[in-house]
Amino acid sequence: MNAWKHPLLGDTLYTETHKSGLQVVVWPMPEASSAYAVFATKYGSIYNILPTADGGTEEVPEGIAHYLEHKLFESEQGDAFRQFAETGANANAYTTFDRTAYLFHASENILPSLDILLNFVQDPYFTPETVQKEQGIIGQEIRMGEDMPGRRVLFNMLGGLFHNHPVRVDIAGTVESIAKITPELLYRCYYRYYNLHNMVLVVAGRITPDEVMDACDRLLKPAEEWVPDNYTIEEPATAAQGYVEDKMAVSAPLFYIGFKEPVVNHTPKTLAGARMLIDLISGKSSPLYTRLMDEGLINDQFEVEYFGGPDYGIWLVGGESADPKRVKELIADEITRLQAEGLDAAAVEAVRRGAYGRLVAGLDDPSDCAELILSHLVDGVEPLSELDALAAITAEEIADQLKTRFDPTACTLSVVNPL
Amino acid sequence: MPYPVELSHKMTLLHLSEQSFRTDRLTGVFALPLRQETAAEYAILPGLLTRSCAAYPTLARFSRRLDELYGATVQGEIFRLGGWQLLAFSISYLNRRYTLDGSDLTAACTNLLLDMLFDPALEEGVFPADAFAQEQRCLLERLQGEVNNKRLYARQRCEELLCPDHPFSYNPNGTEETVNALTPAAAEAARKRMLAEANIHWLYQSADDPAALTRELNNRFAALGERPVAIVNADTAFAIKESKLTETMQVSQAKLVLGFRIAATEPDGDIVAAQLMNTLWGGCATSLLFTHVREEKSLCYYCASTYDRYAGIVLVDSGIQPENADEAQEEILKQLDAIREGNFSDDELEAARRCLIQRYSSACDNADALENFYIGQTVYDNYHTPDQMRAKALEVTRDDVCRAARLTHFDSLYMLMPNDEEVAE
Repeated sequence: MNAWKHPLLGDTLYTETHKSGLQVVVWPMPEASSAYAVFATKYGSIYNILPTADGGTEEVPEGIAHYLEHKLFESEQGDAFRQFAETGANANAYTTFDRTAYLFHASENILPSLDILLNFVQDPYFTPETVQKEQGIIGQEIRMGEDMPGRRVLFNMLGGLFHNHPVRVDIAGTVESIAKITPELLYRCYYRYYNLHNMVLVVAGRITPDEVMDACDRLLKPAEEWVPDNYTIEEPATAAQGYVEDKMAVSAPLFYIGFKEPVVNHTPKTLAGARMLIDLISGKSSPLYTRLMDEGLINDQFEVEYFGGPDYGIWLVGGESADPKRVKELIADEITRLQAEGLDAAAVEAVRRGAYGRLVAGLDDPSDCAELILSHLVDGVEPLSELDALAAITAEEIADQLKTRFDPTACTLSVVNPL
Repeated sequence: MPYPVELSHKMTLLHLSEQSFRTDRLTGVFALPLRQETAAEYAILPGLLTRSCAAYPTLARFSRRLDELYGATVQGEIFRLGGWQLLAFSISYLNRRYTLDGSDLTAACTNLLLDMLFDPALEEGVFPADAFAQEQRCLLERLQGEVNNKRLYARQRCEELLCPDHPFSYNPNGTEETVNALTPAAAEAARKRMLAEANIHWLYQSADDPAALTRELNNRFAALGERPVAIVNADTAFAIKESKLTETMQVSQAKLVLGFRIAATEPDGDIVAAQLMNTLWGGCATSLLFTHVREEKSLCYYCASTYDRYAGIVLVDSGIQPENADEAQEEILKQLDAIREGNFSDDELEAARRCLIQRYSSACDNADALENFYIGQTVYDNYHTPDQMRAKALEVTRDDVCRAARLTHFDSLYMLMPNDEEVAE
């Protein structure tokens, strides 16, 4: 494997594209007491159009990537959870908009657990009976989500912000959409997107690169060479709806404000810039935060984050407020003001330090380290390059990002009011 | 076994130096008896004390200072542990190996935490009216917002059925009435009382020698004189009530919570056997509840049991269709009976044991998890490492697990039903 020592962390990472096509990253931590492995495909809920063998396309039911994640744990030999129970590893999986990941965290029997992970993800087994059985379980997962006001207000916002992009649809789908899922459909999605050329394996903790590559050599099945097309979708720069409202059993109005990023181009510096811009505009040291608190418009549930993926980028502002419309107005005004007047140099430097420190501080646990690497690989940037960018980014670059990455008018306010 | 160092004023310092994290951390744990009449006074302190101090008197200046210290993070948390109300104040900061300019943040950060506690931003001896009003509002809205999380809300309602008018069901954030009655002066009095009367334990995660920190802690408390230290004798005795309550709300899914009392509590109960029993019953992905209620019957997405070793409570909760409630309840109780009678396989038991051991071990690679592991041990001043807990788990026998299940008694049932369902009392 290719070894490189990270100059700021002092840790050595190992990378290689395995002959099967799988991208592999190993982050050995000899002092750790555990290891964490994540085996992921760059396939999530937004891939709702399936290319067909005859060159056409097929629309698949909403929620199918998540359904596939559930079903992959079953094989003809039994449930992968049962196999992990033999090793004591804590196994799990998750589906996001742009990836599906299978993982374990183990302190003992790390290598046998890695074997189980590599085997079960490559071994789909779907029958009408097992697919039918899962509908009750996932149906309850969907209903649980329906009772979560935070989830409702978020997906209502995404539905309002985007015209066409499938990021506007709930990852789990609906009870009705998952009823259309069949074993044949699952197999077609699996064989299209679970190609090792479209997948990554990241292992961090008490393990060596040789041990990981040995498992890869023994267990990875050669995959047909395949490079997925770049994800593109016709999506206007405007918000589809400016305001979306709903009602639930909540104590006070909950809101999410989403600002659509005009041009989505993920680089290490845009990832680093996103962390800083959030703090500069609305972090606790910002004038805006003080004003919102002073005017009683937000409480300690207030949060701001950026998230982006294939062909989308969103600045999210969420919380609880008696007057969400006023919050939206003040935030849009503040972005416009900062774009016009520029940023305070001392504030930029303090925020840069803070963002750098918090990112490094989050790199203790092998699980956090592996997930950050996975996130960088799915975003198409070099592992840990975001950290290097934070160490080097200049005030001018941040000012430039502030001007080009925000359009205060491409915005949706979603509110869930009390009944 | 880790040994805490005795400090002045009946305090202890537990120095955790074996794990090498990228951050160092100092946490003060203040344990006080959980009482309805004082809970809110203490509950407002984490908000008030983690937003400023005399040297950085506004939230903006204080937050800027934290950014300058490479994103040092201060946290103030409040929670219930048996009959105790625990307040934990911490600061975590980058180890000098990782600062871009090689600066050592230890003294600046540990002093900042102590300044927050000893030298807060006050005006005429009390918290400034505007800061106080903001934190009072935040605390009130947090309390009111508990209904937003339906699963946690249902669990809290079940605890109230299990232990009515008892600290085990008191809200550590107080009540709307007591929060509304707070004043800036009452909050400042509570801060002084916390320093003077709480059971105080310090946790220090760092490879550095704690001598300088020890001196600083002793110096800061020198002005306080003798400290009477709070004592809680939590009453864990119980009589089974068979309470049942069904409420309705606009929800898509019914939330079923079964409340059990278990005669295995800190400090003398057979805690590890009860933990293993709980893991086997509903605490892991191969548990009996996961296997039978979710996987075999497809009744739910989650059906899990959780064990509170301080209060002697086990809650089993599940999100289900209302018409499946009886079937789910029957299966949950059936699986408890199965454990009581030893009707589980060795494979199932060993899978649960490995899962429990993995849970102990996973604390070692995460500073937050390691701190949580030890915070729970501070109130009885009886410390075990994750490795020692692992060894204890290996000693638990099948009979011990069956016995723990026999010590577990069904007491109360709470159901949160969708509005359109008929509620049969």
